[in-house]
Amino acid sequence: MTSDEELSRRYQALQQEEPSPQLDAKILAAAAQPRTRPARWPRFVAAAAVVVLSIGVVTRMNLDPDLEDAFSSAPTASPPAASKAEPGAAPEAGPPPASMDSFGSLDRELAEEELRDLASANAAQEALGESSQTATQPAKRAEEASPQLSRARQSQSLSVESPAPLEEDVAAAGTGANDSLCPAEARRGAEAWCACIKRLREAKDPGAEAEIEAYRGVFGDELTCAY
Amino acid sequence: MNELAWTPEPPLSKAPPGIAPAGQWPRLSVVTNPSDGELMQRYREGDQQAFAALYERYRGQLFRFIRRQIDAGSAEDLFQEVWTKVIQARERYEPKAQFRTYLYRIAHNTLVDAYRRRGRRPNLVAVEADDVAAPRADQPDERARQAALNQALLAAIRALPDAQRNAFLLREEGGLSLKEIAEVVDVPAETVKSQLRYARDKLRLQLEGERSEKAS
Repeated sequence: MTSDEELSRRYQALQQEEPSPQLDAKILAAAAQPRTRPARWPRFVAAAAVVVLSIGVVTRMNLDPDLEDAFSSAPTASPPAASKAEPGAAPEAGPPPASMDSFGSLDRELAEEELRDLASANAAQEALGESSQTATQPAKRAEEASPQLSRARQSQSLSVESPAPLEEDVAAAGTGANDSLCPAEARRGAEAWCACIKRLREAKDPGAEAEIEAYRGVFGDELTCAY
Repeated sequence: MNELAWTPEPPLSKAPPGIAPAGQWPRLSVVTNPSDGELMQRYREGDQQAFAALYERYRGQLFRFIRRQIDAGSAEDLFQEVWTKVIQARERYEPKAQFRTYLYRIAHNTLVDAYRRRGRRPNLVAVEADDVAAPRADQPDERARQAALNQALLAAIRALPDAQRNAFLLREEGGLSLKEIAEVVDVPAETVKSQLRYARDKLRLQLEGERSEKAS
């Protein structure tokens, strides 16, 4: 029986094939080629392009509030296309008025909704004849919300840097800012408020319309006011 | 005993070529017979002669390793492909393992890729005309018999399953150890041992059968 050693010897005795001289020359020529390192500049250019694009996208998002609007869930009264349709409108202003309109209307809607809720609670308490102390809480909140409502109506003429959330406006109003023409005490009751509105109408005060709107926002059309 | 007498160093069992016997000359460094790793390192640094020396050491055995696993037409292409990969990877080469293990791993992977590209193992059973010198009519009987046995052995090697043939050729042609073969083909050493055992058994069986046939 052939042993492993004999098998190895038999194998070594086989014809010893070698690569051809032409093949040797090709390989040695390839080995003699100078080292060619791959160009690195495409990688740098690609990295720089990514950085520039990222900065551009972030800057664009920060500058254009419409983009932030598009990502937020809040509804907008006037679409951004309206501002784009009137490129000549107030070019000297900072933020475009169309976008401010949307924030002002949002404020107004939310304020009116809150006022209605507070007014219904206030009316119910008055009907039950509860103490003024418990009634002042919703009244206070109505008082805090109403400045915000009047501010929202005047927002078209103002330039506000960034839209503040409703809670902050209410808190700011609560610290003492009271822009309404009718005093807080007058606004507690329908009759007193109506009387205040009447006085404003007689004086032909332009703020009377705002007070009327606020009155309607709180009491609706149920309580008539002979102003 | 004279304490100042010089005592020669014991001779080496196998003196490396080019090195004078110990005791007569100072030990030379291995610069005269650099290792594969050193040659590759020098080639990395730009020494073309180092590559030529490395190529000279392995060209024959690597060529036969490839040639006995694939047809003649593809063998030269694959041989060139293997060396091209070695040349291109010289910047990344690190002498963590033996160079021959590194070289044969490239060769093995290149062969596997070639098999995959073809879709199936090429038919290597038929020994091609230029593989083994056919016995001539004027040759003495013994030489003719030996030539026939060689032809049979070559055919038997090519008929082996891929893994067994690979292990056998890495062992016989490349001179790799079991552990090195395991590194090349990425299987456990015990598996390599089994593959080698099966390969040798089959080849021996073929040779014995050939001998019996010729004897009868």
